[in-house]
Amino acid sequence: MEDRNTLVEFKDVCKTYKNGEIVILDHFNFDFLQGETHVICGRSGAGKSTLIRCINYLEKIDSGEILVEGNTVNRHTATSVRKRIAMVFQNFNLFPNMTALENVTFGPIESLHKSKKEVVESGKMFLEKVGLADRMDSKPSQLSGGQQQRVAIARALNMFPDMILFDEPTSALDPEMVGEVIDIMEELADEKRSMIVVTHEMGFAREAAHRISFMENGTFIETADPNEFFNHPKHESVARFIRQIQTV
Amino acid sequence: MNAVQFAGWLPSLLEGLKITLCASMIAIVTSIIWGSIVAILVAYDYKVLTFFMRIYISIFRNTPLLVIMFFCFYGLPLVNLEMPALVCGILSITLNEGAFVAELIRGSIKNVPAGEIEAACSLGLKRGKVVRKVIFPLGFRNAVPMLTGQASVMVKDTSLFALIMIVDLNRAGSIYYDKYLNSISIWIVAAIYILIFLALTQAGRLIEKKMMVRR
Repeated sequence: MEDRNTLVEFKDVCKTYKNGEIVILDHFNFDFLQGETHVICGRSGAGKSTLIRCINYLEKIDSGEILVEGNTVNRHTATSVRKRIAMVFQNFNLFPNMTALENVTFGPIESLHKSKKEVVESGKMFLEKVGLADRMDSKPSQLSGGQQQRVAIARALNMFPDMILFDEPTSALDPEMVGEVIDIMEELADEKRSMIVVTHEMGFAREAAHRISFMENGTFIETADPNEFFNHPKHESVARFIRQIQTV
Repeated sequence: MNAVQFAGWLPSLLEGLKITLCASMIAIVTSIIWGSIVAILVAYDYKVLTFFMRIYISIFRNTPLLVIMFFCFYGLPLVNLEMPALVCGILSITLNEGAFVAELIRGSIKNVPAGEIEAACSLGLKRGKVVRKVIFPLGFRNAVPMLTGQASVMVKDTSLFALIMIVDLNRAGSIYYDKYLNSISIWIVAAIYILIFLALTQAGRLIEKKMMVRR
């Protein structure tokens, strides 16, 4: 794992809400590595989503610095960072006026200025990859939650990003649809894509993650590989969290 | 009703109908285009432009259409700005209804879910493109049912054209009445207006059906 390059680097990052009342990131330092699937877990409200939303500047940080491939993330660099870092949202956020294929091709055409032909070709390939070859012309409203999230993953893939951020991608899904999304994410992890995944799906974390971090009090109180994390957690609150999940 | 009188009146009725239909269609299109531009400028901070558009909306939304029409027709020639009556009429409707349309569309684009806007941003689109390619198309679709309602108001607005010397459908009706003191022409004109609204409502439903986004 040591030979992997740093892709996203947090340097002493602070982030608060409500004028400092709620601390989300407290002098947070961390390196996310290339080619690694990094799962972030923790209790609700711990700031996991905020953390990854800072990477592509959907949230502003109060102080410190975030570097993506060596470049500082700020107002001026936000669009160029977003072209390289794709995001998959909890609520899919597909464009409801576009078909699945249009959703997948919109970004590369409008922001990367690629040729339509090339983008449609790769878009179809990615929709096939997520198992939706036959639903390319469907509008999001005609698709199930699981299918919509798979379109959203194809949309992210078609940007050919250096990293994909997953913000609780299965939380809004009916239980029977979680599997189809997780399967695709496991496939992506196997391909050694760089991914940061905020999720409560501990099965995925155990199977696919290279490293798992537990977030509490504005920082990662524990980061370890799955085996270490689940079997020998160092922190009591991590151990309690794992026990709670296993009893559910 | 005298058949000879009626036959003599028919051409001016048809001419009036033509004026009303053409002027309405043009005014609907120009008001919606102008209103959309204003809506975008007001909904997103374009500094000085936004400031002026806010002033524009409050002035033209709160001034009676007839006053605007008189201003364009009788007022502007004083500063050597003379336009044909029909242009004055359509311009007045555009300025007045454009302000209403702008507020309708502004409300709708403000209702576009934040998540969809974030999705567009996270694809690396610049702000202007996010507004033009994602927010406006979605917001406009939300506004379609209200816009079709506003379109019938614009058809009704054209009936004020009679007061700036244009022989529209309404004026054609009163010409017959003035000449023969027979109010049957007013009945006919009213019926034609209702038919226009029925057609407009149907067209509106079709457009709504085609453009509505389901979430």
